[in-house]
Amino acid sequence: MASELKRIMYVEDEPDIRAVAELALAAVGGFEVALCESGEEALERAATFKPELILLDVMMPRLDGPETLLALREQPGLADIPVAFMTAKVQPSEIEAYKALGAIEVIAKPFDPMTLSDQVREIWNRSRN
Amino acid sequence: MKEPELPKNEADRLRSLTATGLLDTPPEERFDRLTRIAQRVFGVKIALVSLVDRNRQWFKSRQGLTVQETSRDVSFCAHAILQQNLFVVDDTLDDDRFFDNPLVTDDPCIRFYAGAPLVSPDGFSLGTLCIIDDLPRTLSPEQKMLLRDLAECVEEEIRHGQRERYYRSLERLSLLHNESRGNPTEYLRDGLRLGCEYLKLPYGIISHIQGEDYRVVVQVSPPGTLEDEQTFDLRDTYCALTLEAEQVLAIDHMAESAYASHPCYRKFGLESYIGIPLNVGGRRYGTLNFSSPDTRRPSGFSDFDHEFLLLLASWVSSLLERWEVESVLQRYRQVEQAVARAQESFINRPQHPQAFSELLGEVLRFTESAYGFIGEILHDDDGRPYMKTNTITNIAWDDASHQFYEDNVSEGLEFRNLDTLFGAVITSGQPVLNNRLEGDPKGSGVPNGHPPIQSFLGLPIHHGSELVGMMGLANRPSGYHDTLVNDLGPLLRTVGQLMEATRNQRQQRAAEEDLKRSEARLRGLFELSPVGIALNELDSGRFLEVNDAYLASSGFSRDELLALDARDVTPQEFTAEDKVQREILVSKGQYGPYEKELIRKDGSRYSVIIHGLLVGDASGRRLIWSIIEDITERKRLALMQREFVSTVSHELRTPLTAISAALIMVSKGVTGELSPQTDSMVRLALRNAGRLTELINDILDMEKLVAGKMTISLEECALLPLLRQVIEDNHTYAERFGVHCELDDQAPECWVAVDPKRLTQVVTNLLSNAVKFSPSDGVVRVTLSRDEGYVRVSVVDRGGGVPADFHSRLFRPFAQADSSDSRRVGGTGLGLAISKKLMDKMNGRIGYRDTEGGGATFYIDLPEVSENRAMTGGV
Repeated sequence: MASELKRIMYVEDEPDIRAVAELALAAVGGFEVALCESGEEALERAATFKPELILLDVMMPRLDGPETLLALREQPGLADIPVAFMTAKVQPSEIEAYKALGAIEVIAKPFDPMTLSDQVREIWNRSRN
Repeated sequence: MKEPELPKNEADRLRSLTATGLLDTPPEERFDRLTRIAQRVFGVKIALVSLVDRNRQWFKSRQGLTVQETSRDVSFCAHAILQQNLFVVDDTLDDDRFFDNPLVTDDPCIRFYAGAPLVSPDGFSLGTLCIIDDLPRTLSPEQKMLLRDLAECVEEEIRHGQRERYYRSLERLSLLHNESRGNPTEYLRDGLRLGCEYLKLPYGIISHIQGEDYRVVVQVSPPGTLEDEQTFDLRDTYCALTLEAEQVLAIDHMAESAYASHPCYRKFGLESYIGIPLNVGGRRYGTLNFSSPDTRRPSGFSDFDHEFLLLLASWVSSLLERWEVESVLQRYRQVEQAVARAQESFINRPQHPQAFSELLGEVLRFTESAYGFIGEILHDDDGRPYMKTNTITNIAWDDASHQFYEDNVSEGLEFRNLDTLFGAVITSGQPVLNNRLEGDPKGSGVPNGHPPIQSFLGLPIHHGSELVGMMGLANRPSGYHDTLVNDLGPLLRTVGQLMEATRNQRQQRAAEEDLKRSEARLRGLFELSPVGIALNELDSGRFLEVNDAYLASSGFSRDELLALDARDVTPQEFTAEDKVQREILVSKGQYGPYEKELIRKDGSRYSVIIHGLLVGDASGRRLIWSIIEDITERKRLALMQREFVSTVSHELRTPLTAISAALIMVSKGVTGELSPQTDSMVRLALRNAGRLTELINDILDMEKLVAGKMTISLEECALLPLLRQVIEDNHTYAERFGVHCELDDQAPECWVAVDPKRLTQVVTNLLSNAVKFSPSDGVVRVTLSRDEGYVRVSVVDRGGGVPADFHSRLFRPFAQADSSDSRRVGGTGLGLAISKKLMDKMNGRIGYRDTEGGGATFYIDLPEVSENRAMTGGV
């Protein structure tokens, strides 16, 4: 595994959020970002893109964030990729529940685009230790 | 010849003579016996009882003479009666007065005459007992005495005749007296008939006199002249004079009397009259009188007549007195019975118009009145009295008046005109009696066709001293008497009591009606109320009454619910709260409002807000009226609303996230260099996006708090570091307003049990408010103090403060003292409301007071925990 986070897969059904997130992660953070508009797309492309971190929106039609996470865990080779949820639902009990599912962290929405990259990097580094 | 002179008292003498009843009557042995004795004893040719009449002398008894009478002017006896002693002429030829008298010169050739005057009981010389001879003679003193004695025998016989008639009449009268029983009218008539016979007068009357009214009680008269019960004006009768005289008044010849101008004489032409006042039971009753259209000349009325009249009058009086006593007793009995019947009727049937009309019937019957009424005296709005009938005789005289009677009698007829006979009673409170109403201005007010009113008795009805009504009676055939007023006294008092009772009953009924109406109104409210209402017994909790709204919510039928008690429909977990509320109810008379759940018939539950009050019923049972508002729908709507707000807010957040993120990156130059104008516009957009985010966050916080979804986890922490952190965090914000925030350096260290994140939210809110409302270069001070187990954090500014009338609304959602402020200083209007809810959750308090010297001080109180406990840690 790389010692520095480079490749991030961002799964979000809202195109505008996807757009600002892409800008925040690519332009501000300098990451290589794969944008997926659904959980299914993420499952499909994860094997080829080989992300070092997957950021999952919680509320999505059809496969939502937690379901996508569970589906990823069942695919060999993808099961170990760290996953963080991005959600507005950040009650402590909710955070606990997401972590129990296997998420390394929960990033609150709305996020600050200028600090999002730093936050993501820090989460990723922490998960490796 | 010398003609005899007339005596000075000739008229009275003649009357006395006539009264003897001897003139022109057949010879009688009792007189003839005496003249025969005289003839023989004195040995004379002629002996006579001569009566000197107006123009003649008439011989009641004669011996030795065939003629029955001679002219008075040749009469020796007419001379004899002029003196009291024996009149003796020894020899007529020697006497200047008689020598040429034809009775001397011619047959019977009188030479001697001796006459003894015959004196009547009333002292008049009526004639003589005389002896006559055709030879001169001289009487010895013994002979003179003998003649005088014989004359006295004749006088005795004259008197005897009169007395005998008198005694015979008295004998008949005493027989009448002994036989009289019961209604004395016919006995009285017999007495009158006897009087008429004795006095030889055709008219006999017993009258009853009241005031100016003269009523014929009983009479004897020629057919077709007088009738019983006829009435006259007293002034038109001689009896007015009799009453004035207060003794027997006898008039022989009215035309020649002092009373010739009396209206009675002018009206009836009665020439002779004898009358006497009658007293009955010590009171003046009227008169007993006899009269005739003929004069009583010349006999006039004798002593016997006077005597007879006195005796007859006392007989009449005693008869009347007995009759009056009997009829008074009978009237009393009738009044007593009427009173008893009225009371009975009133008690048995409180339909009192009936009672009053029965009572009136009784009164009419025994007062012999044709019409009558009983009326109440009421007062109009101006306080003027008027009369309203309880009952009145139907005197309808045509269709219209009959209809009027039918339409109005049950409601009562009203009489408001006080210038009437009724009015006189109403205004004076005194009885009014009038038996001569035809022509009375107050009696003439009756409408056309109304039966004429001849007599009227109006009686006031009192209850205590208050005039409550009146009774009117009319057209008693014999008129009304004062005595009736007294007789009816007990009855009137009874009527007064009945009226008062009626009045009370009426008021009571009106009050009951009012009560019923108000009950009906309340019943309507109860039935139609959209909110549930139930009446329960306090002790058993049993349902006594429930309205439809309650039944609709509960799903029970009325019968099912009335078989239950309040505990049957209360879930277990509310029994504790119910117990508390019941204690409040018993001590304060009211309970609630509080929210609880009730069980439906199907076992499901529904939420209600319930409150009520304690009442007592007539039997002293304690009951609870409860208002039970089914809030299921309200709750459903509130939930929907909250969910809607929550959903909308969430939905807003996503686009806002994109907007904010995009703007931030643009403004930071991620997308390239911006022109100053673009930069300023982007910042403006960013600022507003920030405000929108803040608002949405607040709304969501509020929603969570209301829905109870806000998780608060209390932990014990030191307060000072937390406050320092908040001040630090808001430093940049405060600088933007040119305001400096500082923590009181005297502040002591304290430990509190709080959710640090939420406490930070509260203090941040207070601080940002204080900064916003402070003047530029102002200072916001945060102080810390201890008070009875609480730690108080105060945020003090020197701004404008909060208007007093706004204090009470400060902590309500969307409350801002000046709505224009939100534009100037920003803020969502939810901050303080959220802070209050958060403080409640953390067992704290939040409050406001004015800063001394101007400005606002918001404070929060937090329960302090001991340092020891804090050291051991954990909640």
